[in-house]
Amino acid sequence: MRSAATSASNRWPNRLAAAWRQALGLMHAVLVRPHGELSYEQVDDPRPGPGEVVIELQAASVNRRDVAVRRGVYPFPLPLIPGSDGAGTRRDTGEEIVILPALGWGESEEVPRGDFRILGGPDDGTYAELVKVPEANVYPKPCRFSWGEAAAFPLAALTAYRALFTVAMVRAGETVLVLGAGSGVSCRGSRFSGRRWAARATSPHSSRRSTAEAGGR
Amino acid sequence: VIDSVRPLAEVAGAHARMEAGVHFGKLVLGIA
Repeated sequence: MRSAATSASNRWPNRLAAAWRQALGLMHAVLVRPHGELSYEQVDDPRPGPGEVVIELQAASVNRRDVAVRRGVYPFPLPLIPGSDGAGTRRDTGEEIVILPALGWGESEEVPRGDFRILGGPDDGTYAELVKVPEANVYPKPCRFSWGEAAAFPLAALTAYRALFTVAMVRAGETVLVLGAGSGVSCRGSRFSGRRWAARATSPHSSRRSTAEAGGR
Repeated sequence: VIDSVRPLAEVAGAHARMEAGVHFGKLVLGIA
């Protein structure tokens, strides 16, 4: 185990290296390379266009979609930086924010616009020190959330919320069967269950099923 | 619900955990 003094002194070279990269306009990011490997590399900083802001990320989270992007399920040109979820600070204002990963959704609750995309393919995503996003996709980070918690919820929570309320329109007295206990969407969907309706999460894996039944959702 | 937190550089481990279906909750990557 390292002493506190040792770990503090070890941080300075890292900070110097980070300052040097920033001066050169370089950042660390994870890229999906052809054949689906994840590669941790130094790449150019994102250059924001009109209406876009650069976020200095503190945390990101993994979604099933990222695995599909890596495996080439989508026809996106490679290499690209995957990742839909992220939280960090706006480089221009210093504001602590969480990213809404639905780009160009539009005004309709029911259906997205034709140019709707999810951040992290084809647009470069949050597996990086920096990401550029439209200013409209930046929301204040709830102060009770840690960086990790803030980065964990957007895509899964949006998916669960839309499935339950926009599409299924769950009502008082109803019970929802949530498949895939342990997934981000399942955990979020089960948590949305309130006093007026109930969610029951299940899974073909007995350990995940028992965790869900024990309230681990 | 957070399953685990690991540094960005170790994201391959998070993908492997998700593909194995053994996680319970979100896999978080620390960046700064």
